[in-house]
Amino acid sequence: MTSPLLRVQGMGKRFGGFVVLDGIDFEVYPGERLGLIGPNGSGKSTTVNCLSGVLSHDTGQISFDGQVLDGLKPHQRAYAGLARSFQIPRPFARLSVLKNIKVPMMFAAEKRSGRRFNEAELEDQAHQALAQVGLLAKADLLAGSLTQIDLRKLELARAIAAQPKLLIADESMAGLATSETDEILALLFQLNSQGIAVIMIEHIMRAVSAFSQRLVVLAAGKKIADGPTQEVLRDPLVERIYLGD
Amino acid sequence: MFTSNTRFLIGLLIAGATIFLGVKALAEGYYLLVAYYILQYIVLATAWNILGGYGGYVNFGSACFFAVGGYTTVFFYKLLGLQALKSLDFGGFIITAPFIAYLIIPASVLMGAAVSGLMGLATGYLTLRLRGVFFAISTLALTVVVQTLVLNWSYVGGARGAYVMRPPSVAGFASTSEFVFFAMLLIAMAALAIARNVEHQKLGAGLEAIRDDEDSAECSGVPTLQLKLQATTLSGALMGAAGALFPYFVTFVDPVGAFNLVHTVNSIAMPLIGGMTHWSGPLIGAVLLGGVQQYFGSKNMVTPELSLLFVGVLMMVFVAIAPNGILGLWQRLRGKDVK
Repeated sequence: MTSPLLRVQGMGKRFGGFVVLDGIDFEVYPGERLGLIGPNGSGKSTTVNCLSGVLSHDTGQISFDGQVLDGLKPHQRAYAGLARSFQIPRPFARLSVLKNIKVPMMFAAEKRSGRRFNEAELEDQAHQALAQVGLLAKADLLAGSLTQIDLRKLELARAIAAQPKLLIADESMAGLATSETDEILALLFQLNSQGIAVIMIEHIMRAVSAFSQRLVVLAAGKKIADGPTQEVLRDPLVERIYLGD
Repeated sequence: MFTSNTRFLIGLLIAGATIFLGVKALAEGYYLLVAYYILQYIVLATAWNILGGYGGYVNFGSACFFAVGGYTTVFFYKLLGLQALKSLDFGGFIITAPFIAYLIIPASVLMGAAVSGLMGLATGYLTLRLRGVFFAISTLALTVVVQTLVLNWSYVGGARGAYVMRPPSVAGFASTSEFVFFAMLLIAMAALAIARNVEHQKLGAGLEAIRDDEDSAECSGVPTLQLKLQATTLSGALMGAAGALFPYFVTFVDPVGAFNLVHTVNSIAMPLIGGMTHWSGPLIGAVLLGGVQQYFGSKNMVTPELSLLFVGVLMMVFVAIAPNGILGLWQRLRGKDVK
């Protein structure tokens, strides 16, 4: 059995007296598609923030690709190969769509490959990343002028441009129409097929169950289920939490 | 035929030579004065824009970095007893009076840049955890603190100020003023070249990402603290270099003049009016605004206070109708959006 790409052991986080995460354990294997679900307030976003380093966890240990991430800044985690998208798109609004992609390439991807890209390579790879998400025609627009669906695509393209091993897609589909959801879903499948492990955090059950090979369920800061998607969805505890008694 | 870098350098050298020879040909102290002040503002505005325009961190402390450069000159001037300096002897190699300026003025500029650069690094380290308006307030506070220190430091003249007796003549130049002016011209050219370089390098791209969304930049691998420190250091050093020449140009420094709010306001207003996303924005702003101020100032048509009011109103107008400055307006007219 291969060793996990990401291993979270006993991760805890509190805001003042409020325990948000209480000893979370889970693993993600290379190339895996993991769904992370749970009701509102269960700690999903805090988990994402602690994994990406936007917040620092209080207890436990996060290791990624053989490296302990505890105490590392987000940019150092990006260098390690961990990328995330934001729930509410956070583009570099006053830069062109193309330059939005160049930033993670110039910083994260260069650091990971250990060499400087020349201008032609940057241009070329940024165009490829945009082509992959279908934003090539909008490369020269200001990122701030994009529509919601395009912003979601840009978030993903920016994450891919860092050439990660693991992508954490934080509610990439929230608020999108069904056809748009399918577009994003297809994109995530495509990224995964290139060998990138994906953690999908999502409320849209149709998308999560179609995408995930395995589900981790959080409720009130604790992990209550972890296993193959269909099994977890049949779990009476998960059903009760999602649908009520 | 040429790369854009070569074209830029050639353009810069031609412009520099034209300005220098033009001012020399006019042979009138007034034009030298006006040109010096505009060049000084080109440096301050360009320096401010590296942190403020690219990085989005508004520095209200330009006057402080400028003054620290100036007072570094005063400090070393007194410490080394430069007023009594007639010639320098380096083990038999004697530098005579007409050549002394070639040594002490560039040395002062480097010292001023170093001290202000270090102050930029230190303030950056202490305050860059503060974002937005809180950072701006802290830089304003820095100015007040440093000004109070200088006011009470009699070695550098305290509230009375200090005189700097500059070398009476400089070999190869018509006057010492002309030499100081030439030095400022070189600093301004260097500042523009540095800003353009920052813009085209990783530092510029990283700062722009920080300006638009700092968390998002971090998650894209941008080492935000490191880049912000580079920007505060570089910005501070350029302001300090401009400040270090000031005592040699006016021969007298006092806290009121050196820490003047005008330096701060102009170094914000000029990039804002010219355009903050491109190295030429602060240049355009400094030439226009500086030129207008000098023109009206010379005709005794306005007092410095009125001029400051005018700058304030102009800033509000630009923020309201042309937040991307003259460059933004120009690009909009040509039907191109700001990059």
